[in-house]
Amino acid sequence: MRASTISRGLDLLALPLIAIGMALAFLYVPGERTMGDVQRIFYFHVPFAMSSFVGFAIVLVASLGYLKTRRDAWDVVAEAAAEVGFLCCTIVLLTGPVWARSAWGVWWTWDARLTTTLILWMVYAAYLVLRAYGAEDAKLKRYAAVLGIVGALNVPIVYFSVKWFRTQHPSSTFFTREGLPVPAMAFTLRFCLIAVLILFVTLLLKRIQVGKLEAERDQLRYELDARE
Amino acid sequence: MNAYLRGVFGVLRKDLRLEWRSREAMTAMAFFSLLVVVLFGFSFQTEKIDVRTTAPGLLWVAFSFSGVLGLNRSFSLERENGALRALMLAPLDRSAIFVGKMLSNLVMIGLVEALTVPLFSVLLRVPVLSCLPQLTLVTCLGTLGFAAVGTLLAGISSGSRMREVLLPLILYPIWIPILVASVEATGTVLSGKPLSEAGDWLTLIGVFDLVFLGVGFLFFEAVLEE
Repeated sequence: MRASTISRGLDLLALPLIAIGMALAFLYVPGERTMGDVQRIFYFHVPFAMSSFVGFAIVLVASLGYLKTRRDAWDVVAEAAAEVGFLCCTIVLLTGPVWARSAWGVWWTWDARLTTTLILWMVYAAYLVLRAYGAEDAKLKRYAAVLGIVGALNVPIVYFSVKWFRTQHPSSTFFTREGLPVPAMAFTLRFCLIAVLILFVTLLLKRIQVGKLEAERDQLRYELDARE
Repeated sequence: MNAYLRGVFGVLRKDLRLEWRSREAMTAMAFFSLLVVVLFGFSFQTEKIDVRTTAPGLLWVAFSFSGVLGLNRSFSLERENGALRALMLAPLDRSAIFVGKMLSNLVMIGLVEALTVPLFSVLLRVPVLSCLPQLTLVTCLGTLGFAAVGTLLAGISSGSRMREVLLPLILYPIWIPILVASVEATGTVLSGKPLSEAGDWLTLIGVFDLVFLGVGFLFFEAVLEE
């Protein structure tokens, strides 16, 4: 009961926060001097990018947890995190090119950071493909856990190796000491970051509930078959 | 430790003997490799473009495509007649089975690569003799990573409903980083520059090799248990 209360509370919180975030990004914050209005996309692009990394971290932890304890709850969490993370990563890959088209003149370049995100997206996709194509139930959970671990370990190495090479992608201004030039920008970014993370958690909890219901349905079906 | 190594070599010897008697996988892989090189020759009009710039990529695409054939074969054999169950009943650590199968895949893919390189050099007129030792080193390092992660994931795909179809789908996204580094290092070597100029790329391949070997060593057990 308590889990569902928290989940409902987050639902009620997530949508208004996203709406306010949108308003801040489009109406409140001043436009960037050189890039103009298209730079506003960055207030959602960055938070979704961070959420997709969080998703991968959860996949890693939950997969390790499943292999260690063999409790189905871990498997449900891993699957949910992969799906929501994949959604976030897709949003990153869709919003990025819109900005790039205007700032760089091309939709896509084989820049290091872009490539990393594309690899991240494909690893998520591979994980979901494995789950969709499936195997016997218990096997599938083990297989998915192993693939989740391999894929998730891949990501930080790719991410840090990228730092060796030149990248034309803007650096992570959020974390540098100078920060963003205008306080309003920093505030909006932080606000959107919190809003998107809450949305991420809401979706994650929803997907976990769905996963639990699916497991329950399978169990009932199994019992029904056994009775006949 | 000695018993462990004996287990590893036992699995390796079994796989290689099996392959030596049928030579099915190697023939398929080598022919497929040749086909990829020839397809490339036709589809990219190699008379007109500078093959030197595209050669490293082609070489690694041929390796990745033919490698998947070998990896799939290595496990589809085990799934026939319950051979895998027998292997699991053997008093061996599961990680020894991983290392043994990884080595047999490495040997087979390596041999096919050794056949592909001269063909590729002749057909696409890329001189390789002058940089053969360096090229061998780069290829071995890259292939080690391929065999490590490939053996682990082939164990997964062979137990799934889609079997052979699934392996490239789950393997290639994870293999891309090593592929990129291997292509870059091969490019450096083929253009006659010293190996040290590819140092960063080689380190990157090495890191991935270690991670994938470690993951396979630790988690192959979870893939095999029935």
